[in-house]
Amino acid sequence: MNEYENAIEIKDLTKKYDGFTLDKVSFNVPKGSIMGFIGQNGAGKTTTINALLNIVKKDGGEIKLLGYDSVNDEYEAKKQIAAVFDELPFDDRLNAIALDKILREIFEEWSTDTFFGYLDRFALPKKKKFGKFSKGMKMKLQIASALSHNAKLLIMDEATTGLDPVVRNEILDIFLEYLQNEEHSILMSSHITSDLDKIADSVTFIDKGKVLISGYKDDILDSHGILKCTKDDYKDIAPEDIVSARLSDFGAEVMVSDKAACSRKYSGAVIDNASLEDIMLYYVNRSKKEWR
Amino acid sequence: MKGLVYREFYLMRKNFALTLAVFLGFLFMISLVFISTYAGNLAKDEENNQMIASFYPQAYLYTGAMALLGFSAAQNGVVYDDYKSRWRLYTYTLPVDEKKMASSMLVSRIILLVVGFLFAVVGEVVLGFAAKKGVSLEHIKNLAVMAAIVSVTFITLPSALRHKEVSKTITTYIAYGIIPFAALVFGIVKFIIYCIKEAEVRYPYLKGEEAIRKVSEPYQEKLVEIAAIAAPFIIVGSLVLCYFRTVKELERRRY
Repeated sequence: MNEYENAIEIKDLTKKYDGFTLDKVSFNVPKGSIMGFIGQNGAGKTTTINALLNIVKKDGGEIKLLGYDSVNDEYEAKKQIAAVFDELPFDDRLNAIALDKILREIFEEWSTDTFFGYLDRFALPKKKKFGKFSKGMKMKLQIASALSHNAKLLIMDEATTGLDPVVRNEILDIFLEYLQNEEHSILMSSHITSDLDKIADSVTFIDKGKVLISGYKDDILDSHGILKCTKDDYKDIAPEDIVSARLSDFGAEVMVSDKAACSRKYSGAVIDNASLEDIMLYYVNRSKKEWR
Repeated sequence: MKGLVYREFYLMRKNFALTLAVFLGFLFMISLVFISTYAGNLAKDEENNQMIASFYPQAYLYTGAMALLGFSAAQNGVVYDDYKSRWRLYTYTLPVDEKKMASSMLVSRIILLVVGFLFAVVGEVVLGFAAKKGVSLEHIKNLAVMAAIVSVTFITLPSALRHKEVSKTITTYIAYGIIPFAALVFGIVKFIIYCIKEAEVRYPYLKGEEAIRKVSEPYQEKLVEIAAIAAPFIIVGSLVLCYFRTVKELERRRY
């Protein structure tokens, strides 16, 4: 059995397209944890995931999945990985019974009982064609198939996008259940930061092909804050303390990356807690420094 | 690989059933026509009997073409549907390498070709008995040659994977095929002109069409003989070419 500390290890991953470059992306997903991979549309999340799964050939860098090299030991790794995409990748003419027959020949550890168990739990019909499923049903089906072959790593690419809050909540609960087993890990890319607020242990934020922050979610949330001040007071804030600032006619809201230090430095200033969404918003605008 | 082959057949079952229904319907109709020449309303009509006598040697070719092309084509849409459904993307996340994926696609096509050939032979048997002529081994040999020609269409698989849309694949093959096709048509026209001239010289006492047939028969027989010897090589060659090009195409990762 392969021993490993991190379910995913990415080091200096590079991929070049015309007009976009994934530039030395590096981060790790510790075993037994769930990492939220956030960024706005076009930031490079899907490209990173595609490179992880060797769907696209990387131009540089190293990737390890469950301790295996993602290229040289690709198929060994993929026996224990399940990928979930934003759209159902199974033909509309198939039904669950046919899908079971297909996937049980592909995955050595496929369990028909587990698969049908999840279908019953999600109240998904076995004989109905997938073309007649709703979006929520399709996502639950994908997750059922992902969880039915003893996968140790789930890689989800925008899997909760477009789902209603009830279904999203249901799916997040399933992920938490999945992580009860310490051997299991999840990498979940999303721009719905509220989902990651709920379940992520760690977060990596990517923007324009570069990783801006990567670390434990609680540490990131604890260290960042939104300093609120007047326009005059804003001028007194040192540039190195500012990630970016949102200016309005009434004052300024400044994202700071070291809340504790800024509290001491700018005593009297009000520093509110920042959510992941706030952090994403301010970091995306960091090049402008000041924005409205 | 079993799962992938099962999937291909599951998705094409409607096309398969439709092709089978059309084939059986056509076979039934032609058989009835032959039967009626001795047991029906065409029995006393001498002109019709002559027409059918000339049609019988070709009938098995029509049913054979229908079976071979029809069943082989049943799978064509699956490749394109796979891109639309994102199945192709999903297969890159599975513990299945490109060689297995290519093999599964080829195995499906081979099975369809064999099934098409078997139905073509069934057609020959049914028509042979309907026309009271029995089964002709010569006809079966010709059907085997036809199967070899149909197997050449396997090489469209890598193009289908590359282009992802039917229209683009067809356009590519028209572009590549237009010159060889023009050369073939030119060759056939030249051959027909040669046969006409030879027929006037060698068989001036025979009617035009009959004389031309007499001139062309030895060449046709020779061509079929050569094709029958070449058939296994054509089939194997098409399969091998298709396999390696398909693996290469899948490895290109068109995402």
